[in-house]
Amino acid sequence: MKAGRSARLLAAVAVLLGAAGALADPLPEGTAAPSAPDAQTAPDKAQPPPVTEQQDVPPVAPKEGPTQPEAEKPATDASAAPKADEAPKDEAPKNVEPVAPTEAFGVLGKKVYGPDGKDILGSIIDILVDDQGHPRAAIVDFGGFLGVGSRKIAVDWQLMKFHPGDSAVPIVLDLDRKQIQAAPEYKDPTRPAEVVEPDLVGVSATPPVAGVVVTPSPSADTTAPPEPPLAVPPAAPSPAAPSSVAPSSAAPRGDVAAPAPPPDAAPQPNADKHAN
Amino acid sequence: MLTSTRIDPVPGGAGGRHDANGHDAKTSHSGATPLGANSSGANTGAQERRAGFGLDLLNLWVANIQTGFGPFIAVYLTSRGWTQTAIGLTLSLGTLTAMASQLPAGALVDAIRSKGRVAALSIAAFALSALLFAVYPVPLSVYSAEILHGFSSCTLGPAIAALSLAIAGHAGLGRRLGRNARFASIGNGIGAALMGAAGYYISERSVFFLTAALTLPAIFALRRLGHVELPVRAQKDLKLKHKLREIGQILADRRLLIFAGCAALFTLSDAAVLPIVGGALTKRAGAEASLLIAACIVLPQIVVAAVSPWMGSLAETHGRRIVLALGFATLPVRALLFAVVTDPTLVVAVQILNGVASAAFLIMVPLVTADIAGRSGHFNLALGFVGFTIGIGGMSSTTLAGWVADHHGEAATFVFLAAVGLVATLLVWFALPETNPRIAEHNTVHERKKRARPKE
Repeated sequence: MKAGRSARLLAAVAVLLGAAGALADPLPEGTAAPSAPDAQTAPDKAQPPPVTEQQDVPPVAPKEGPTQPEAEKPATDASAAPKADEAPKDEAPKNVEPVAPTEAFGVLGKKVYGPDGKDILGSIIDILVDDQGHPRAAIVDFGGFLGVGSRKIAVDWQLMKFHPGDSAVPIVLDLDRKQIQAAPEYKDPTRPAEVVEPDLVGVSATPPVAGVVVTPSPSADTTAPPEPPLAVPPAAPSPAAPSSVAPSSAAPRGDVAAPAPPPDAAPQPNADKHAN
Repeated sequence: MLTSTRIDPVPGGAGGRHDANGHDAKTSHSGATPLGANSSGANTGAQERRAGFGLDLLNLWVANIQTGFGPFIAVYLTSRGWTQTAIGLTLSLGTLTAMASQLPAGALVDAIRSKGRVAALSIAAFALSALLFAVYPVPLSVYSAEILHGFSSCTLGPAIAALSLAIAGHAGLGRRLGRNARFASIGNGIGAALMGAAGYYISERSVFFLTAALTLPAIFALRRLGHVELPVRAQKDLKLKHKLREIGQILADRRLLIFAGCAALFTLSDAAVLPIVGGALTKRAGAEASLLIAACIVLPQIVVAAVSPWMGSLAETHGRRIVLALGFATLPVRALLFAVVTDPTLVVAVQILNGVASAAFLIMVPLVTADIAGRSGHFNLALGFVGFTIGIGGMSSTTLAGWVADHHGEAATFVFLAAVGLVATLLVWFALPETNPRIAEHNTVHERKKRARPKE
């Protein structure tokens, strides 16, 4: 009886709080958007929906659907007709451009895959941008067990490859485990971040001059690790590490002029994946 | 089941009375009526065994539930696209709630007569906060969940300790707590395995659904206990002023203060170790780093499960100080070993020492507190006080260790933590009096005898 009573109490409070949460939906930052659709669909996770209050959530969710990359599969430019329930947003302002999740997607908290596309290296937890607003580095959190013992490192934005339409491997980091382990820890946002640079790491020896696509997106598909073009052997990670690292504040690189390559780089692998 | 519903009707008018009059009427009642008989009557044969088994299971499931709330929350919220700032805020909110609730929650548990009901409500609150995390991870519900969990973990621990004291009695408490620690660590190990697997193979979110589901067996385990009440020394003086003075006396007890200081230093020396070791493993070891960290978490639990009943008995036969000293002394040894050892397998092996320390700590915190405040009616408040100092130790541990690591490196951090552990051990050995009532009395008699005939 004790258990029964507390269970009932639990259910009641849960429903109440769920409702309160639903009411409060629009106010918090962007977090509400990614969370809501998931709560409704829980798509690829094989997650049984055992809880009743999930029924409280869906009414709120569909409003801001298309921020979520996973559900969208069409290869065509999905921006034109993403969803009918976009209507309330569209009708009022004219200066709105729909951006499909196959075109651009949110990356905060998303998993980062290794060059082979299988190994999960970690997840993006933050992005460093310069005064132009261009991304300079991604902060990647990796390792650990149930949150114990994970490490954060800063990697140059050029090392990240984004495939917005690809739900299986949306983000690839062109570093192998050894290189990641050798990277110094990113600790304090107030101090110079020691960013792992592409050219010195040796993955993409080509200096990113203009908005040129950095080479290795084919190599990302091959299973071979990107060792061959390497000048500095990664076999000795610890001495190699400091050299491959530039404190971002101390290194105003010329090649930063190459603005935002990712959007350029994106369509190609994107198209590749859709062909599959 | 029936017994628990009986609590309200049985005292009859008193139920209404302490609603109106507050604490005073309530305490008078528990002193005056033979409510103690209810629990002392339960202390017979089969029923006691049944209650003991219920406690075993309760400890197992509760420890299991607790696994999901911890550092894993940061992983989960990261996967939901939360920013680091928001996650930091969430975690501090949880810590601060837990710190601020220790004493009030202890006092609340003291004031509520049915500790079983406190435990049930706390577990229900755990389930609710797990569901809030899982179903609707937006700031409002996540913050609510953190506050809810922070507070209810402060009521659940003392409630379980009080249930143990009531069921086992003071004389059997050491052994009882030894069993508690054994089953709690089994629960921790199972929890880490289950939640780790769920997080890895299904999704981060599934961990919280699993947590919520695991509260059900905990509630069922609780139901096996029936109605349990902590017998309290009859209280003649019922005025609030006198109660406050009584509380003041307990909190000013020299033994309790020294013990709380030892406990704080213990956590100060201990809490930062595993995160640093885990980070180092992630840096040094390859893809298997996560498995090694899992081993660093699970291996000590196995050790606790193995040695804690023995430690509980040892505390009864040879006193609390010897067990405390044994557990505390492993702290500096472990920290120094971590400063030297880099081989991943050896690192995991050193964690055996952590098992010894945890076992001693898990058993001794409620046991020594019960020695000092067990029958005073303020047992849970005293436990809350010790919990508060432990919380301070834990908070300063990560901060201080982080600072030392930044300025002097990892090895220096371990040396620093070892030094703190050494101070804690010395404090236990030289400053803390024996609190086992039988042995303490024996000691004083012995000393008096020695003084009576100085030399032959």
